[in-house]
Amino acid sequence: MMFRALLYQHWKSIRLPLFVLVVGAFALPLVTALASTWDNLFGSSANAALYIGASLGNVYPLLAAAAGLLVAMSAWSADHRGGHVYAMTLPIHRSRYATLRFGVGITLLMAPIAALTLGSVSATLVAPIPEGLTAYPAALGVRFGLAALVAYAMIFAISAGTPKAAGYVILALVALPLIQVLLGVVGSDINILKPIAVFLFDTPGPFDIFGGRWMLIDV
Amino acid sequence: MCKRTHLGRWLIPPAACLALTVLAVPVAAQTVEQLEARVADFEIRLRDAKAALDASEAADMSTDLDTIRAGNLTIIGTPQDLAFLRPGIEPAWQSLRESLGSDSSLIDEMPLTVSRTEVEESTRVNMPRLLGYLVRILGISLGSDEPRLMGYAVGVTVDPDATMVANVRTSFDPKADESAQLLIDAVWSAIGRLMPPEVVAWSGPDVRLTDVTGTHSVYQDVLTSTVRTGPLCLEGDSHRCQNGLGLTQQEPLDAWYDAEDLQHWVALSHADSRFYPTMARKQRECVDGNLIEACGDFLRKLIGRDLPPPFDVQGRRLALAVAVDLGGDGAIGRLLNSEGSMPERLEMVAGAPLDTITHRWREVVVSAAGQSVVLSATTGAFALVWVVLFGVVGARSAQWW
Repeated sequence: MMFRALLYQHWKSIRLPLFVLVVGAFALPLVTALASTWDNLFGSSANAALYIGASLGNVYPLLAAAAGLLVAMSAWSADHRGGHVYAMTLPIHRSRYATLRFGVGITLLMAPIAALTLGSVSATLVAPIPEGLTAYPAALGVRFGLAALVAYAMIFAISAGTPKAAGYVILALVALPLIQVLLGVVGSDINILKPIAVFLFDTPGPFDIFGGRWMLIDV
Repeated sequence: MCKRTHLGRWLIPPAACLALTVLAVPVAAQTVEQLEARVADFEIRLRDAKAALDASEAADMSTDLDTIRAGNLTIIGTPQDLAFLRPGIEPAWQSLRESLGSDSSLIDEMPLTVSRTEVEESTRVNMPRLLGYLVRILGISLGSDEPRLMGYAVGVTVDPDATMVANVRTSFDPKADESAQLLIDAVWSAIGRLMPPEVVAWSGPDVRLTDVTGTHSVYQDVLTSTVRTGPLCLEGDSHRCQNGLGLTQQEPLDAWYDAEDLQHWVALSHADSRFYPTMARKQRECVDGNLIEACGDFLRKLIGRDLPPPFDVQGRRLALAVAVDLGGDGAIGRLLNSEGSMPERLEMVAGAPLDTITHRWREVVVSAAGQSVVLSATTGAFALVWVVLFGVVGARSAQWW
């Protein structure tokens, strides 16, 4: 019951931007697949599919991050506005409430994830796949879903904490590059940003899922 | 000084003449036989002196140089330089022995010499121009132009002419895999240098002759070839594969294109009628007038400038590796000693006809189809772990108390 109430409240607060994201997630694979018909521009349909697919492939991780950010940022906005008074009056433990909020966000995220998967499957059914190439609608849908969930969970965790905790995260984001510049000033060879970037963007880092090729149609 | 004085200018020429005359007297007094004996004596003394100098230098060198060895892989260098490669030599040898088989004896003939140089760079911080101006106005100094030791450049050379065959920029404490990779690269590069020039011209240098894995890039290159040679090759037309690989004796234009291909390619090409009126006319005759001769003329003018061969060099490298794989033990040695045209060389290496090689090559290339990794299991699993981890952190956060 509480889950439904929270879901309704969250849905109401973000329904318009979420709708835009859902439409975008459905349309993107269709545009990618239909681009393979522009063989006159690229010499062959396989060329067109791979070239345009690679170009538009950069949009998928951005869309996933945007979906995650939108849902996570709005997850606690009602509580922040009300100073958490309403939530504190509820007869449940804080961790259960937070888990419900987390679940609500995941449920809402399923809309763009399902839209992208559906769009990918539709695209492979509607648009001709150039001979020799393979469509990967399911894998793309799963990857998009995981990327959106990672972005969502991370921002959710930061927002769920105290403003002080969120402040620490922002402080770290600003302080680390500054420390790097200061190290340069004193003539040090130490690079603190590189190992952090490697940890974040390589396996098993949290942003590894966003890297690499995002292709609906590939070899 | 003498030149500047009046007295010196007048005295030096007569003095020089007098000295030459005195010196020439004993020479003039000798017979031809005596002179020949003296020249022979000088030659012996010169040879002895050179030998003594070489021995002295060798003695000096031997005290400085050291050798490390793993299997057939021998590395020469100073103890300090060798320390950089010591952790990697055993893994490098294991890898090379596995990939080269009996041809690993080739390595025995190429002792590698390692040298290490210090890399010094300024520590000045590069920043956007606007920020740079601001920093300068504020009088802040970020780093300095004075060079500082930032690491080492390790180079590997091979005899007889001490050609650099591999190098790497490394930190102060290189890892074993880094130095092993340097040695493996060096050996392959050294083997590449032994290849006949005709083979290098066909396949490019530094070919990994044992890498027969079908890669996405080769498959994609053949599939997306702008002419039908690629797709038809993938469908099983062995002759088209040989055309694409440049293994046929026909003129490239005839080998690569049929009439439809010609018109298609010419239509895609751009010829500005203001700068290339003849080309533009040929293009119109080809595309609009269906004059196939004009298509050929147009493309022949284009060849040598920007018309690429149907398959790029990666496909050719794979073909070499396939031939070596088919040939088994000793194939690399046969390649190094091969003669004749490229198809003949490949047949010699593989011990099989060209059709068998191209058939196998096509199989390897096609095996890459449908193998794209959109999402690896590891990446997916770790993403899930992060979602759970962040979720737990979020649920256990302490906003209320």
